[in-house]
Amino acid sequence: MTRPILEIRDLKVSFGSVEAVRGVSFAVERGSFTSLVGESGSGKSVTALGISGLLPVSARKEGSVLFRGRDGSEVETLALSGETLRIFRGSKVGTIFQDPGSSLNPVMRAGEQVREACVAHRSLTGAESSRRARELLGSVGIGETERVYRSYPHELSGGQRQRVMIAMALASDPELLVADEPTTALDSSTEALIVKLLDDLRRERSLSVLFITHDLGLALGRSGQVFILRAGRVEERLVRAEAFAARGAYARALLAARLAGRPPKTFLGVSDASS
Amino acid sequence: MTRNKGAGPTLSLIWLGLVAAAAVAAPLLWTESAARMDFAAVLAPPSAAHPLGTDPLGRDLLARLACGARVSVGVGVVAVGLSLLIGTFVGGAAGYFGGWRDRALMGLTDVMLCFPTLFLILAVIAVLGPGIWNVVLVIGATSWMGTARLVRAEVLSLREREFILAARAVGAGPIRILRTHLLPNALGPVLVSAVLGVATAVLLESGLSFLGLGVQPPTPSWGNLLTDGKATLGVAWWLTLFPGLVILLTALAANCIAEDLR
Repeated sequence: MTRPILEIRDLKVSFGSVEAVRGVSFAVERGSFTSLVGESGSGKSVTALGISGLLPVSARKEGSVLFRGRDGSEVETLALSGETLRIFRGSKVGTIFQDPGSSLNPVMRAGEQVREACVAHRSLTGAESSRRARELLGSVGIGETERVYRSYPHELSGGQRQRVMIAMALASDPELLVADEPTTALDSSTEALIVKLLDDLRRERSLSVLFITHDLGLALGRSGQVFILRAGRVEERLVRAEAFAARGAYARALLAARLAGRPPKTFLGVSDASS
Repeated sequence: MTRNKGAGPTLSLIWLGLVAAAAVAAPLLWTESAARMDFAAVLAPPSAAHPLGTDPLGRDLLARLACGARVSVGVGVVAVGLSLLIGTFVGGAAGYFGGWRDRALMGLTDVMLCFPTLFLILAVIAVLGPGIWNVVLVIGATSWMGTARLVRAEVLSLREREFILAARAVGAGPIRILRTHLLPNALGPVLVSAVLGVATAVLLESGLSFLGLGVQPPTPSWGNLLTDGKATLGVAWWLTLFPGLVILLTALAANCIAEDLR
């Protein structure tokens, strides 16, 4: 069995006196779809930033975030800075953010932004980079590639914007994709499509995906492993085989919170025999 | 929200359009007549032949004002371009990098703001000597501070936006982020201040030329036309009134448009 692409050991991140992450340890297997689940404030986004090398300079960080490349190289992400950090971002780890509305530059055409991402790590001629940007947009399931390429973000739907973001994240062929609540700003049918796209891309491009969400049900649908974060620590770990059987109390509470939002079954005209 | 803007912006645009057309076309059409001396009509009041009258050498004032537009507006635009360049660079670098670079650059800006601009300009001109390019250089180099502060403030708020984080996440470097993401988004307010800056620069050029430190005769500029008019104010009011009016209207129109853009 290959060694994990990402190993996090006792990661602690604090901002001033606020401890956002208080000792998180977990690993992401190469080629897996792994989820990190937790409520707001559980430290999942800060963990994501730590993996992507995007924590602000003011953050105090301890522990280890070890990235193992395909070529066998090992990188301690927390120790990177300056140019080496810039090269790490995008080419090893691609990141997708929560709100595709605000994570695209409003005054730049979508295609141009993907093109920009393509030239961040390699020098391409204008024709090469725009061809590559179109390929990327095609590969994330955008139907009208040409129209989207020429559109400004405000002219696109939420789902299209998130696909553009995914295309940008893939521009430099990263090995790990960190998706920080990529579907929270989207409606539930688009949500399902985006999660499926991430899973398809994982298989096609032999990517590893770290999917971060507050929705345990959504995470259970695709993941091989789910880590549940609470108050800056890993509270539970669910592996696919056991995912639906043995759940701890906190996992049950999270699932219940999701189910409580649904209308009663009678609303749908289905009689509930057990009650 | 709609608001009644009145005819101000439209009239301003028409006026600036006329001035721009004069700046481009007049030197080609009128150089000959602007320099031609009509000794039969020395200090002639406005008439059909000379719509705005003539000066003591019998030169047509309308032709000279039209030719002066190229000099005055040209000086204004180039000087503002220079000040935008300096201001955007200083403000952008200060806002994006922060820390000691920010303090140093903003310190410089504050020091520059402490000098009374006109006296600073007079002192520099006294050293460099008068002339069109020196005027451009001096106006540009002493009027970038407003732009720098504006750009810095814009960049400070923009750099916290998520798309900047997204750009960093794909591995974009600081220069690329500044150039392709921050500055284009900061452009709006900067353009407004640039239009205001053109008005100020035209006024400054006129003031300097009026003092004899700007554009030198025989090249006509609005400022030195006004100076010429001063000598004959008692007998030929048109030589003072019309250049003054043109300067006033141009500054007013630029201000009006800047206000409308905001």
